[in-house]
Amino acid sequence: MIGRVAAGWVSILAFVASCGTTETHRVVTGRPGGAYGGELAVHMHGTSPPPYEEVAILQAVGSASHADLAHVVEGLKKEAAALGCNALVNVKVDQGAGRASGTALCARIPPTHPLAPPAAAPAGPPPSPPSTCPDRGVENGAACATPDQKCRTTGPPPNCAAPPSPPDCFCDGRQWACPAVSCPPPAE
Amino acid sequence: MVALGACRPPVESSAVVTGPAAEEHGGSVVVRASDVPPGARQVGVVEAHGMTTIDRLVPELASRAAKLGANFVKVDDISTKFEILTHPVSYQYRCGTQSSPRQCTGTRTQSDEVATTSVTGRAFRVGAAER
Repeated sequence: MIGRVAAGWVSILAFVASCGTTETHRVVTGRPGGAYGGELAVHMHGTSPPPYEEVAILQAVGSASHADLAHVVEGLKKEAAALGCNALVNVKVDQGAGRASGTALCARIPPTHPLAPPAAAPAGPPPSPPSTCPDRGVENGAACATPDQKCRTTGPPPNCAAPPSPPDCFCDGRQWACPAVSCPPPAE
Repeated sequence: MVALGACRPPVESSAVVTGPAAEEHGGSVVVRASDVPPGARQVGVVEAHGMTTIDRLVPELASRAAKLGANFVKVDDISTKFEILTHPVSYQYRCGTQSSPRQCTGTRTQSDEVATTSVTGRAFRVGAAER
């Protein structure tokens, strides 16, 4: 009898210890993409993030054992990854006694930016191998379908003797991204 | 509990006009949290709050901005405050005797932590809505 009562209490304690929920909410303000499988960069409120594209405003609310920074940020990360974001920007968490609420911007940082998170492992089918597109002119924002495809056909900047490296445009799986580039160092 | 679940908490909003008076905007309102497009003219500041989450508050913010004639809202801040609210709860229990059973009603106080989220932003007129 004592054993059964003790076992019952252990079950209750185990349930209480694991009793917590994290719910997430979103307001899409940009263009969501396919699910992102890599590590997300987290930029807290008050810090200066690198240039990014806004995708959505997110909120995560943790209750009971999930009412802490770790669970709330994890909830924000999951929601962001589902929308194709590779970063959380302006992350802010308000803490209560038994609840916590966090908000953030779901953002895409260009993969070529030095502060971008490590390249994502593809969540879907493996992408086609990188290729060049010597006969195609591309424009920033134009649609494309082959992730990691690179293009130099927009040519080197006028003051460059050689094409810049990395390439001046790349396909992020949905559209061409053409970040600012600088000339490669002159050859010795 | 079922009644509580079915009852949506109210959302309240307010606005302060800071620009020239304009007619209500009947079209869609673009919402952003990161930047304001070039040439945007601020028409007011807006706020929405309630014991709910952003998916109800941001549309209310946009609706409030549209009433000022805005077609763009820049969300500046989202914050949540927590407070413990104590309220009486009535309950019923059996009383009386076996031969004369009765139903009695008692009252006890219950404390709940409630979260109030507030979204603040600025309302702008952009592009074609510029007058």
